[in-house]
Amino acid sequence: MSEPLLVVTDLVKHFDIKKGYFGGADAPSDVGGGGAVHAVDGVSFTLDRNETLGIVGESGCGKSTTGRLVLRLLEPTSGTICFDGTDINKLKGRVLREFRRRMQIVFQDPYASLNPRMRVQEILAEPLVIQGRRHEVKQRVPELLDMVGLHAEHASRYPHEFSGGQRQRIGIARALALEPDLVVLDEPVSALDVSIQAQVLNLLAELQERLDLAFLFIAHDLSVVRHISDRIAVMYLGKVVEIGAAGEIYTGAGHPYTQALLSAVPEPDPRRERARTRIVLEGDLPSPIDPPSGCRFRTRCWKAQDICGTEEPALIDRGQGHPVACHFADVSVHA
Amino acid sequence: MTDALLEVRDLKVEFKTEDGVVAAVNGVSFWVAPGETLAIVGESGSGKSVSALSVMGLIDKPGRISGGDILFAGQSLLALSERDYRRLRGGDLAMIFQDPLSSLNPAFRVGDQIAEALLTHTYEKKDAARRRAATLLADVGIPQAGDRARDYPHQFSGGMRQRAMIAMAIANKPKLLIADEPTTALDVTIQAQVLEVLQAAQQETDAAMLLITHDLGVVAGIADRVAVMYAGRIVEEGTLDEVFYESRHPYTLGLLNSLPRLDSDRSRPLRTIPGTPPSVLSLPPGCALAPRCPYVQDRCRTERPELEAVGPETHRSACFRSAELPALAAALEEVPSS
Repeated sequence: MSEPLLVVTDLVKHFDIKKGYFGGADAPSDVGGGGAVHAVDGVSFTLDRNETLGIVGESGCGKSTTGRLVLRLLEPTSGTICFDGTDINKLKGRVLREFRRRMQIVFQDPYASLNPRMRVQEILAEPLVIQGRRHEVKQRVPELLDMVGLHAEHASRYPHEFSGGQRQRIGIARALALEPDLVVLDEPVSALDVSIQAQVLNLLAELQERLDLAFLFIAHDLSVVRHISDRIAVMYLGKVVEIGAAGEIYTGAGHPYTQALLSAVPEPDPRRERARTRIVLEGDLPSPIDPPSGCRFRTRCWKAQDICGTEEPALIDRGQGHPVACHFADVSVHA
Repeated sequence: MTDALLEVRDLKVEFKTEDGVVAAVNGVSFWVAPGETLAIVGESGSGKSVSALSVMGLIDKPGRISGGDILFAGQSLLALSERDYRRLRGGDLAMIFQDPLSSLNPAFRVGDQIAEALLTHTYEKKDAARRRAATLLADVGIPQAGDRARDYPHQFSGGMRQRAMIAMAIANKPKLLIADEPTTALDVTIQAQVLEVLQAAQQETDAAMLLITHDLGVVAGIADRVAVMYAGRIVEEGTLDEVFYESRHPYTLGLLNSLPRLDSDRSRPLRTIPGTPPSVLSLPPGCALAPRCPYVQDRCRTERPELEAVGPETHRSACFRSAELPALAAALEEVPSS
């Protein structure tokens, strides 16, 4: 086995809360003064070539921030991101630009992520022009359109002339323009209608095979993530609570939060819906400005005991076959 | 059907746009009985929300109801004066919207907004209404409801806001509860909480519920009957099990098949409905699904299928090939996909 393409170690991102209009730095945190939002707090994972790692979690768990840190669209507070053996946080100038070529992103909202004043031709040419490869534009744009299931004549149109699904295809084509090794997909199908979602998911799977891409697939929809991912990381309040092969996470989840998340997914199957026992979590997500001590999930966990408040559970294999960050993780009977 | 609380008959809603008149809802009929939940399912632009807004009398210019009738407890709502309609809204007719942040007034305390709903319809004393509002908040699972009633909407989380909206909607014990994508804006664990609250509230008041959603998972969890909409029409309706397990319309089948499931075979590509939904501005002359349908015949391109009974009771489908569809679908299944 060769080196993983991406190695993320102890990644931390705190957003400082600046002194605002209503309160100084010493004002209580809930009126906007002082402290920091602990968006990502010690996240580590690896990603191989041609592999998909799904990151799931609810709003505010830090999954999108993680995606942006990996691409260095945000500077981390601490931690390292090694891409193909190089720590990208130390890169500058020309070398950084070469690494940027190899890492691309597809955004959630296909309406907001395409410039309405640019023709598709210009949208797809822009990455090439920026990388000083203008001479390739003429050949590459029709190629890219074909790759994502659009036609060459679409190049002269503007984004508003396309449906949501087609726009997302344009966004994918743009991300592929520079032959990247890694694509971060940040909720790429959440804004699309059900019948269109499946088309885009199939397209992504097909492109991954063809172009040997690594995907970091960020989403809140567990059925979608399960379908496309090889491995899955479950995040809660800035931390990875469980990580493992997609099948294992679904059949043998060890962390109570993963179990609750899975049991809450409504399935389009009435008989199963009638038969299921849902774990309904109490309360809401705690504030990431002042996360709970010890285990961050303990305030909503039905298994919580004293130790959970004092000692943070490490993300290690506790007999599940994959790492789980819970003192009382279930050891599943499934293999 | 005689016990229907709400009966919508051949409803047509048009919108005037620069590009011409758009028929957003084009001859839709459905009914709901007390204590029952009817889910209207469809993708964006299918007309499901417009149907719900029509019942609430909330279609504004440039839209108008151009045909059909809406009967509530036997009385036509279309004939009501705005004044009488207002008496119904928030009283016997209540609605929960998708986005609770934009449906609550940010400048008033949550408890006072619920009390206002009570004072408009059933309560006369402010104090009593406020106390009732706090009880309602407690009923929908807001902790320390007495204190939280004095909070402003921005101090509530998304799930709490939606619970407050439910409290407001059930405040006057409505006979009909319309929920338009009530959990779409919420995270999955919060969605589970809110759906439980919604079902409990319905059971307590024995209200009829009209659930508008695109999420077939949510439908499978709480609906009794289902109507599937496509391009302004109902293409299939029936009981939950009929629609999910004995579907007789290619669109419903396509939707169900295209969903990734927690236990589906990941190595196989998802089966998709090719193409995109048609623009309501330029609907095909025959069946609106014809350009995307794997079972299309010549007739489908020129003639529009009507919604017709396909089962012993309420199961209806608008497809010329509905009778042979199960066999056709099984045959297609055997062809290995790609």
